[in-house]
Amino acid sequence: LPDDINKPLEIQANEASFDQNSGEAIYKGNVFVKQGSIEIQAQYLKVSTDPKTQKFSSLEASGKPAKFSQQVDWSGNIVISKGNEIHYLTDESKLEIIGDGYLSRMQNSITADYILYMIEDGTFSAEKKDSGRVSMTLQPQAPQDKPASETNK
Amino acid sequence: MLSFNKLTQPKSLLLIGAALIISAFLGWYGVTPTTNLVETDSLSSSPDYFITKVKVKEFDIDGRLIEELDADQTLHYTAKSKTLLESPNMERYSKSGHWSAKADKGVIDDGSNDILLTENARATKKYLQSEDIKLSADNIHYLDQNKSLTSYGNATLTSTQGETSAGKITTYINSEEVVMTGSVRGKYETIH
Repeated sequence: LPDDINKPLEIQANEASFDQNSGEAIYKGNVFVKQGSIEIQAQYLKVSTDPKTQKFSSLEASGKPAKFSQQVDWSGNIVISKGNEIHYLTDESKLEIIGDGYLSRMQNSITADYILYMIEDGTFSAEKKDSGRVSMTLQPQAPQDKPASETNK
Repeated sequence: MLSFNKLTQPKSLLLIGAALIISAFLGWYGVTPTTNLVETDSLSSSPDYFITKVKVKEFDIDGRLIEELDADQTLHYTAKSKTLLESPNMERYSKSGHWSAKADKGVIDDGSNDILLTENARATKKYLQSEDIKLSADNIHYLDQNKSLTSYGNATLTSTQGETSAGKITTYINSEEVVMTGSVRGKYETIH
């Protein structure tokens, strides 16, 4: 949802280590992240913080697979993605899915080695890396319903 | 011979009863072992000495202040080889920064430099290069061997990034590393 990125980030895990100097926190084991309607599940998570502002700026999750989901509109549609690694850059509202990537939004879905999803405008692009392929399934646009007055002629 | 009638008169009965009670008491008193004026248990559980308004300062070989310990009162117990502290407040200084910690109660084992702070324990670590971090917990244990502070029991770490709670949080005096185990819960603000 539009204001997800302004919400505080809540993280749960089995254990964590945190280095005040570098501003990096590592979370391990059943990692669950929540920020507004955004949810991430992974086995490993690195949270990077901007040392100057001390606010956190990016998050790298990995798992078998790592999963990301977000509600994209008020009627409850959600985007779901998963991959070996998910990099979520909160200050750029950008999501990178690396390795066995999959993303589905509404009825459209895409699989690729690398998927870039721009959260704010809902667009995504994909690349194949090594021998992988990009496969995309786009649902045809539903025909627009003609206005009621015309149909009664 | 005292006739039976005289014996049954009220006055005589009273005298006989009193005599019986006194003899019973004397008999009991004679049998029970001699005891101290003070119960033995309370003897071993009371402090052998106590000091009030305690102020301790420790310096290194070069004369630099490395530790300060204040307490309203310290009580030493020989039987348990422990010193209990009331309202302990301590500061420790090192090259990379310094930390301060306080609590309602504290415990130091004889011959040990470790200190266990209990009941409403809280600590603040001040770094030279980066922001402070604050710890609060039911217990904060300073271990001199690895110069670490271990918080457990409602342990919470508050830093500029946010607040993290865990079963156990260990920080190290001479490093900026923090290790958390046992259902870690973090809450961060994001940049915008």
